[in-house]
Amino acid sequence: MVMENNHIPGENRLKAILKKKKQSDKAKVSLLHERALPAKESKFLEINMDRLHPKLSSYLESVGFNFWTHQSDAIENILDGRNVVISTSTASGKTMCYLIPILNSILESGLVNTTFLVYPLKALAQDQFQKIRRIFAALDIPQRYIGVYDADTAIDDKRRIRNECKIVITNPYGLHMYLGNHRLWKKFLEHVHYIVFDEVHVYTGVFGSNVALLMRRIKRIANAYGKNPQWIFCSATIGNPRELAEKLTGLPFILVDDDGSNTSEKYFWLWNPAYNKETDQRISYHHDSRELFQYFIQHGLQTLMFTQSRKMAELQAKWAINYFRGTRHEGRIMPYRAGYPARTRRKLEKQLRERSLIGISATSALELGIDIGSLDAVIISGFPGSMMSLWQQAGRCGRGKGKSIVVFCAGSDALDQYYINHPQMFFKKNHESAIISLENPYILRGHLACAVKERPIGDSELLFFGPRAHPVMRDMLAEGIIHRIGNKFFYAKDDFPAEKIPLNAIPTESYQVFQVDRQRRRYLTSETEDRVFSTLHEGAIFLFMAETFKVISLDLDEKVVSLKREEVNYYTEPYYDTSVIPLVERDNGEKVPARRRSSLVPALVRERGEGLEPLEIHYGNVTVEKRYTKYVEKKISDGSTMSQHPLHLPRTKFNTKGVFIIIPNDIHVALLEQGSKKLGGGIHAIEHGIIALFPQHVFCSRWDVGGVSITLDPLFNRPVIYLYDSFPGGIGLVEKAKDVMLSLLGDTLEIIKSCTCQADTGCPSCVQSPKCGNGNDPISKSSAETIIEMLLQLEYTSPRYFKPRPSGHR
Amino acid sequence: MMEILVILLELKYPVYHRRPIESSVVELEESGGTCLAIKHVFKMNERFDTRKAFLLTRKRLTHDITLVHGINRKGGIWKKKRLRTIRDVLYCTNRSLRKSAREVLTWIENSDIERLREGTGARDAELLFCVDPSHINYLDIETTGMRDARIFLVALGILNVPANTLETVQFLARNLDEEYMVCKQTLDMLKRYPCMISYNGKAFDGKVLDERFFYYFNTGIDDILEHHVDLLHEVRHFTGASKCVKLGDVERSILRAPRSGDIPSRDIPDAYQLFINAGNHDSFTRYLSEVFQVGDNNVMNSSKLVGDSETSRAFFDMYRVIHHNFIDILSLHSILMKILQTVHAGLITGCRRC
Repeated sequence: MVMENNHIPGENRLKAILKKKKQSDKAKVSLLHERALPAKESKFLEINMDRLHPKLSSYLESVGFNFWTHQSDAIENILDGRNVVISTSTASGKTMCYLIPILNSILESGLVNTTFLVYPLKALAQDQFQKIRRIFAALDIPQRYIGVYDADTAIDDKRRIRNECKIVITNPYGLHMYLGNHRLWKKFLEHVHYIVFDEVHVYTGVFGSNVALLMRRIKRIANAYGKNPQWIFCSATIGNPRELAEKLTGLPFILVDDDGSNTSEKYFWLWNPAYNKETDQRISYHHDSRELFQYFIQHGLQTLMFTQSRKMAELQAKWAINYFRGTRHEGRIMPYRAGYPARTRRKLEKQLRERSLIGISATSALELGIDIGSLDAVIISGFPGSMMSLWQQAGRCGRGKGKSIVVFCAGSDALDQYYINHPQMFFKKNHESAIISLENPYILRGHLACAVKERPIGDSELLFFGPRAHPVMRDMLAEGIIHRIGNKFFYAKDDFPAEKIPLNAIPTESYQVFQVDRQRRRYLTSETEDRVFSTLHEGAIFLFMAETFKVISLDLDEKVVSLKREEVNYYTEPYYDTSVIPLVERDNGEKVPARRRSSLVPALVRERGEGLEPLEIHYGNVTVEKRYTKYVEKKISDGSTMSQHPLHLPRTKFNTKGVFIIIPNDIHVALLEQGSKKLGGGIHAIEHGIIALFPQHVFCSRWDVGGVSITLDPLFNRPVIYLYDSFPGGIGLVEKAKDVMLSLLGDTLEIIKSCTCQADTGCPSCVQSPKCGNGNDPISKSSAETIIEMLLQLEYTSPRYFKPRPSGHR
Repeated sequence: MMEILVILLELKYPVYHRRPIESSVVELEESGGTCLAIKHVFKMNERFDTRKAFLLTRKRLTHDITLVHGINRKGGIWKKKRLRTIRDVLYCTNRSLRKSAREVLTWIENSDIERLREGTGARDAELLFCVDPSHINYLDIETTGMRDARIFLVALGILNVPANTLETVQFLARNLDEEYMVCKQTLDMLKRYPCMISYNGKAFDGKVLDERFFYYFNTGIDDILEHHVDLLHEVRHFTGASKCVKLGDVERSILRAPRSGDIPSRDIPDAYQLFINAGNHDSFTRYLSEVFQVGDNNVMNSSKLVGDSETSRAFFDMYRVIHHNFIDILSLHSILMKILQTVHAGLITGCRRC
């Protein structure tokens, strides 16, 4: 009998709880792997206190502060004037790494020097604000010298904060706006000494590319006020922290990653929901997560469950609340997610710290460094998208001295299944690399417009914005957005470009979505063109804030979508064709479609009889055309098709970067010789597999990568798998992908082989994709397996930039 | 009444659309681009004597014992001690007050504007005696809007004291690219005469100029200006009005010269936009002549507010009427009426401070 109490579980008690669970029938099937991660002792290293202001050093001595090695290292480097990126585990005291030099600088300068502290979330900013205020009080620095400046700040406070505060806590979205009115920040910017960005691992992909350009703008403005501030970045453990920091700012960085903090012993379970042969599907991972959540709470373990959606966070909490109604745990279980009022969230965090809550189901909103104390158990329900996130979530328990348990409950997605079946890869802690691109012309254009608006740009400064800045400026000059006086570019409009540039998306044309009921029209949201064509076409069923709407009209000229509320028993699914055409760049920079290869690209053609063709992988610019052909209405109850309707929408087209895997004709022949005619299904399955596993290597989701498989490509005269960056202009995904293509092919083969599904069409755990425009048809697991096995035996040349002659060139 | 009539007649400034505007327009061209300059010279009336008005402020300052460190405004005790002027303080028993009074008098005698401003808390307008009246820029700008505004017109007025004339120049950007040149010309003028008088300039004109100067030349307006008087601040302070007082109200009530021949300020960006859209010679006179008139009127009336001896006297004395007699004034209107009544009844001249 396990006794319930609220204390941190002792070694034997936790072991007993886990042992009991392991003995259950379910665990015998589902608990695939178990590992005990050993405890780690603290490593301390003193810093030279003489370098600190006497007030600060005496404060640190009075509180008995011991510096972990990474803290000492970071502080010494920052005091030496270097830009530093700190990449250590959760709860390793990263805040103190930058706070001590900041406080020192404020005290040494006689309360003059200023610092920007930038957090990606407002909740984090508030959390840190309270912490730093307490330290200010201990150091007798007036509380008015620190302030949070964001959209929630009262207008009356804003002026005071700008003019008085020595530390301003804000977020990148705010900075993006404030830079346009930098004269209001004159007093602050004239003394800015440090710029700190916390949680920099979130600045990846489109968001990271935007923030990289934002950081360059910040640097320019600070330089205009005669300051060259030091940059300090903090990051969770990622594959390339230093590379990311240097790419974000264009400045050299020192990496501090020798983590000296201690951790307690942690048990790690890999849990795969049982396979149901009758339905040819796995049991829902939500179901197993729910059981584990309730089991741990029942045995008095303070448990945090991470879910993948807000809805699931609410549902899991609701199920547990109902389960424990009338018990001593009633009222001690809550959901937590973004969207709650700030006060509610602070209250929940406090209750977690004080252990008055026993269970909480949350989204990734609790993943970042908000202080919630140490928990006994963490359940990760479904792969959170990256190993970095997974270890961040796992780091939420075992912060104290007690032992803890982390359970990863795998979903049915291919990536979840890959990791659950490859524990060696799982525990290798091979963290993904964050990627950013300074070359996306769409992102660059917006930030260059903002930069010119903030300050004129000279020719020499343009290099700082990357190699593509010159052509983008040339285009803007031709369009009259900027004008030139001498060797400088000036902004020629009287608008505020930052307003039009979203930091976490690529600026595209947007449609306004309205609910129309009788005479009233209510604005609901705005959506991008691609999303409108896929989910808001005429006749589509659209879910918004848990309400069901039907699209009654789509006005392409006015860019307005009208909806009306309607309860229906079906949902709609669009079908589309995608074509990818490689582009080549002419001498004048113009990009045009490449010509057919057969007669014009002899270098790439091999004669039959010379042995097997090698596996060729190319990368380069492509244009992607998408045409929505029809939509089907499917029953909610069983997913069966009710009706089909044609769609008459214009083609969408954008240029991006792509990688092309050219399948040698020999493989087609070999397949035919084996009696298989499923080449199309095979390469389609490979395309899905690669895209599903892509986030294993690059910090992105499967939705960020698109793909098209063609059995006989007119350009190459061979079957080709095209993979492309889904963002117009590309954000660097392909550049990473090309180097890991062989490894991705091998992993795809593994996942196909290890999947227990019976059908040749596969399942969502192997080769079926939730975003396939052809409804996963045709698709063939067996052909994919054969093709990959043959491909991996071929001679392989490293990827080459695609550069044949353009069409029409003589 | 005759006096008012004279003022009204003199306020009939030359109206641009009644004569060829080309006669006043010069195209300026430098390495940074081009812009237009529209110049005019206005003859001021006899009563307009800036030097005299400024000297009055100096006299008033020497009478304001609250400038002495240690004497506050509410101290009726000083009256009982018969300390009426700063010179009186020189003879009081308190040594520190004596020292402070001596310092203030020295600053006033030396016209040390910096020290007077920082050490005494005197108002900007009261310190104008430190500046040569012909070295003051009366300024007004017109922009394309309120937020993220671009400057398309800067009106500047400089007094020629011996000739008793006000010379105005308005720099016009025919498109937004010419804003650079407009700012450059304005910057040169302000560098030459680093004292500026504006109406609501600290909240608007000055801030916009500061932003644009920093943008084009990496210099802020504070780095150039030695003295900036915002007449709105002064009007609000001296009248005790808590709300914003439009220049039009001041003109009507203090100068007794209501506007005519120009357009409301809110319509000016639209007029400029129409001019830009039309982009031809006709549109210049059609849409902008009234805008130029606004610039001239604003500059002219700003100068009158501080330079007209009678108005200026009334303007500054009103402050004393309010503060020394502890009159609780509830509205601007009542204040202005009071001033006008007192000016014309000659009551203020009998004030014990003058």
